[in-house]
Amino acid sequence: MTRDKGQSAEAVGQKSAPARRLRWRRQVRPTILHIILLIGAVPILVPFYWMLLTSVQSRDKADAYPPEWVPKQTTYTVLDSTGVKRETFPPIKEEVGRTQIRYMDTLQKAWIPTKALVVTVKTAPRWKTYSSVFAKTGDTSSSSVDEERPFRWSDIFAGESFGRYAVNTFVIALLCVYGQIISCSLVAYGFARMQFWGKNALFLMMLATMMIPGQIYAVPAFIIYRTLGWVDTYLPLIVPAWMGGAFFVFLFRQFFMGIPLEMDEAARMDGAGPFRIWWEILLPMARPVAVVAGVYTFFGAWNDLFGPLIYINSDYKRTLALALTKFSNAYGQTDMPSLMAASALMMLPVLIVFFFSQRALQQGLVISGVKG
Amino acid sequence: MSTINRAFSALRSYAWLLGLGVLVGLWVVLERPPEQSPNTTVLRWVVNSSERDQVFARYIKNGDPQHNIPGFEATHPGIRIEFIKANEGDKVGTMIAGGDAPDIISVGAGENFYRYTEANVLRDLSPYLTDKDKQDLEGDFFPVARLSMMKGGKYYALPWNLVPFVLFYNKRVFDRYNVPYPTADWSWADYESAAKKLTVDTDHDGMPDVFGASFAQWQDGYYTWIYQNGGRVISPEGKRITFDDPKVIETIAFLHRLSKEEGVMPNEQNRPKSVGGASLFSTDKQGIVGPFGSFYIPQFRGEDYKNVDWDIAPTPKGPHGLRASVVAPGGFGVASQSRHPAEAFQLVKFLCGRDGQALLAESALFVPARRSVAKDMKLMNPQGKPEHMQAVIDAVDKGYAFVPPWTGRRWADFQDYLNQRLNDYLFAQEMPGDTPEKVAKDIAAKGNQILAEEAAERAGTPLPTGPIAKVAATLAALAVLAWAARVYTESRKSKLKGAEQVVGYLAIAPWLIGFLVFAAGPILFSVMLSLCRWSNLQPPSQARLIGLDNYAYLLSGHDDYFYRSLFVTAKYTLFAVPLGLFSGLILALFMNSNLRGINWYRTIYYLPAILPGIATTMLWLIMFRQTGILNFALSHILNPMNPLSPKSMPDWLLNAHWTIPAILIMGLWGAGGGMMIYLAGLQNIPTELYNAAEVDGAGALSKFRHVTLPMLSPVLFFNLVMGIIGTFQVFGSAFVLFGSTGGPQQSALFYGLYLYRKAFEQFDIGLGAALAWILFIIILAFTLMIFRSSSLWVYYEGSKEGKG
Repeated sequence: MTRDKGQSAEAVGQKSAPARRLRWRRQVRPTILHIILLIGAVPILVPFYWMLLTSVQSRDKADAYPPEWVPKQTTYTVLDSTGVKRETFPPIKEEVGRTQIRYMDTLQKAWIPTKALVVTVKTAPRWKTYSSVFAKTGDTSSSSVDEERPFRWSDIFAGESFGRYAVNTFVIALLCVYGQIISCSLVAYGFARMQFWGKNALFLMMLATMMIPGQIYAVPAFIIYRTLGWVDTYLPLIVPAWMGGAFFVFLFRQFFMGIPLEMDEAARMDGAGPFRIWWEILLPMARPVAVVAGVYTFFGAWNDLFGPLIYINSDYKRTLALALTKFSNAYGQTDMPSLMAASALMMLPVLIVFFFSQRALQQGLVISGVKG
Repeated sequence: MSTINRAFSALRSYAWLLGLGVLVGLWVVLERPPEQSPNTTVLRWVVNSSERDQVFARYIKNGDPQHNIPGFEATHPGIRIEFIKANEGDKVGTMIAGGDAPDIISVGAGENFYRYTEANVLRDLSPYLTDKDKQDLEGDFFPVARLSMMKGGKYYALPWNLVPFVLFYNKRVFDRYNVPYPTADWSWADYESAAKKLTVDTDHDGMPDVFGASFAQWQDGYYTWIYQNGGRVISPEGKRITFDDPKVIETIAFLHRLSKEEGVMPNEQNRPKSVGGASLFSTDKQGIVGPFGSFYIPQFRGEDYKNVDWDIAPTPKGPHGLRASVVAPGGFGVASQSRHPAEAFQLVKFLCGRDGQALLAESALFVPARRSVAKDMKLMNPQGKPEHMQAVIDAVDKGYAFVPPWTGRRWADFQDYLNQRLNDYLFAQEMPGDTPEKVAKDIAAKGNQILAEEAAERAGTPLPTGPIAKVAATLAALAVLAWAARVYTESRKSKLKGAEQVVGYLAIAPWLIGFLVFAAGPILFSVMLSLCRWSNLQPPSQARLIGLDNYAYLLSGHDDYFYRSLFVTAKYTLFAVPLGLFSGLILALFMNSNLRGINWYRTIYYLPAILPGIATTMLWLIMFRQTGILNFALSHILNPMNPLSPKSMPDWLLNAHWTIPAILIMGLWGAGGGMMIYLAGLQNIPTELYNAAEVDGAGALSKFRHVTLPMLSPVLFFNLVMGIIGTFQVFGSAFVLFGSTGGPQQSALFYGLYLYRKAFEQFDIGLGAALAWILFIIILAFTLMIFRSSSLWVYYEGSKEGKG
């Protein structure tokens, strides 16, 4: 920032002062700032590290106190009845009162007695959690949470699996993005460029709707959607996004107002109708706002819990947010690694979108110039 | 060449259309039910997402080859079961309310059964029952289970399961202190003397380390004790709460003696802070758990308790030799909304038939309602654990089991009050002047007040939905016509061009339609709803217009949780909004520099705000555990040399004092969201202002005070308004962390949660709408207040006022 220069003020000071100040500004201050910001970043990032760590931690270590800071894996090697060494997974059953140990054979689905059990702990991430997340989230027919099932690619798109939920969420979110950009820019175009009776009153009314808490709509909207027969479809999640959200209409309108009218005039001379002007001239120019609207709509739809919670019933239609709450119910305390792996996977697309749109987002926010 | 180019550019300009087409195609595909063939009937069944329920459901669907019991699908070709995994109660209710009920519905006796039958949710099963079925029902089911599924002589569900109450005891603890095991004719005196002998202070610190007993500390446990003493909760004709009966007072005094005077039960003062959720019972530090629901049996058979040597015994006899035990029967019914009632009945019949009941016994989920199966110990207890499994069916078999009383819609409010009052008195903080008599009288008074209120509730007038719809439609049509006429006359006056007006209206049409259908309509509708009493489970014709009664009920304080939730939310807002404002501002000031790598810092600090709230809340779920790394870090920061053990650190999500701080910490972690808006504001401040200030000799502090702050005040203002609107509507994070009950002692019962609970879990739609409107008025009042005060402290460029 240029205000760091302020030389006229410095010239008034003592002779050695400017040099000291320069040193302060060039070297000391940035270093201090770096240190502060780095220290501040630690508590922000540690939870993420912890999430990733837990997701590749073996289940018995995920609960440990003091915490394990590196992923540890416990391997159970058993000697089966034929004397062959094989690796197995918990649960291992010790018979009460007897010395015999049994392990769960995943193929035979039975408790098999073993002669010897070797438990080793090694430092290694347990990537299997991730493949098992895809395999078992919605799988009602698996016999046990603890059962390890080999990962199959077909699981990803199978009926009720994590992958299926991700696809559902993507389609809903992207349709919302389309809807929001098209409808908001069109409505904003009407408000910014057209003259019609009642415009200001309607515009004010639109701004006022931003103030009304969502809870007011929740109940009657539910009844309306029920009357329309939209329960357990994606319509209640998608259609409202095609109706022009007030905040983004406002942003688009602000932007359109800043574009000189000559642009429209020139296009009109070339024979373009009003809707073509919107679609071919103004909308492409409003790219920064479209990015802001699109990205935030994507985030909103991707993260939404309340809508799917109320409107989606069938298992195969669920979204990720909903699936995640179900995850915690089903496996709650016992399977934190899977829950964390699922959470991390849900964060990934948001992270990618944010990474690529970050610059455009900042630009868009500055352009829209929030002024209360 | 040019054709290819042109085709390519055309493709590129229509790429968006292509993308949209693909998405819509996918949408259609995704919404199609998988693998459906035309001659299969699909029955939908909501199954609790817990592991054991899932195993049972799988047995019913596919059968159990090990015991040679065929599943439903094998014996009923052409019918397929589709599971919906959910937390049962709320999801089923929402589905019924949405007109999309599952085909079969599990029904609990009492509240659940009455609520469903009152709203005609369940089909009368009598027409489907053959004489043989009826004989079977009367011959082979425990009467208490069968009768609780009947109303007016008709079956609305078939009896399926029982949850009798028993005593669980830890043999090793009994052995250690040489106390004989509980027997079938134990009395209160035996219970008390055993509990006293089993309560031991092993490390001599004045606090017991081994406890004698504990029991189900909610209404079912309390009722069991009361009925054992010959007490009654409600008068036989169901009109008066008899909680002030001497027998009830005696019972409360007895339990108080056990807990507070003799200290043989863990209470808030002497309870050791358990670590990692390991219960006292599983670590051989508790002798008796009970009276408690038999649903502990499968849990105790499981992995977590594999090293515990335990058994069960019937509930003890009262001082007058009376026996009593709560039993909670359940059943399965067919939804009236089901499109395949005959097939759904087949499934219900299978669940309650011999095979279904055998599978229930085998999965050990509950005690089957069918006598012949429940008494078959080979099915019920193949491994002989617990040894005296017979005790489980004693209460139903010998006929001293009772179903908890239930009177009507507001019985749940009475139970909530009873639980809270008794739990506080017996196990937590007593109120000054509390005696067993006073507690009993308070509960009786509250109950009678609720009954009186319910009796005095206005019947209300049926909502004339038809005429209202007609009037509304007419008014709407008139308004649109008037508006159009006005637009037309304006264009005649030639001030505005007609064509342009049409284009303008066409352009804003998406918003206008959305506004009318999904905003204005619902808002007016919601006003009307708030004046009605209506359960969403019922058809709209059942709604009753009751005027302002919903508002009066809430504001008068008769509702125990309204002010509570308002207080929780206000408390949270009071801390969260300033915290958010300042942390965001400070972050933005740090970030507003041209430091190398500043974009990385910005990204890192902004991350928590944009990542999915559900996922980050899940992440905090593990951070907040008592043995989580938050406590680990805090204890090491507070005292690096000698860190506290996690036992003495806050149990963030389970201790009522720490729930709000926990949510605040989560909010602080996400403070980067506010930062971005400040940052945009900071970058809009012209540099000349700072230069001018420096010329005037202003230091860093006074530059901040006289330039940054005034110039930033509109952004502060924006963030303040948005912050208040946002915090008053907190829902998602609290819902994930605490569920709709609002966490320990309702300490995190946010307004949004309470509204959700009323409207979508208890289906009191009218009350829900009233709650929403009160929230709106509160938010509006705050916003107006801030707006009115804004001229004092918000500086707008170009305006003369302000301190800039």
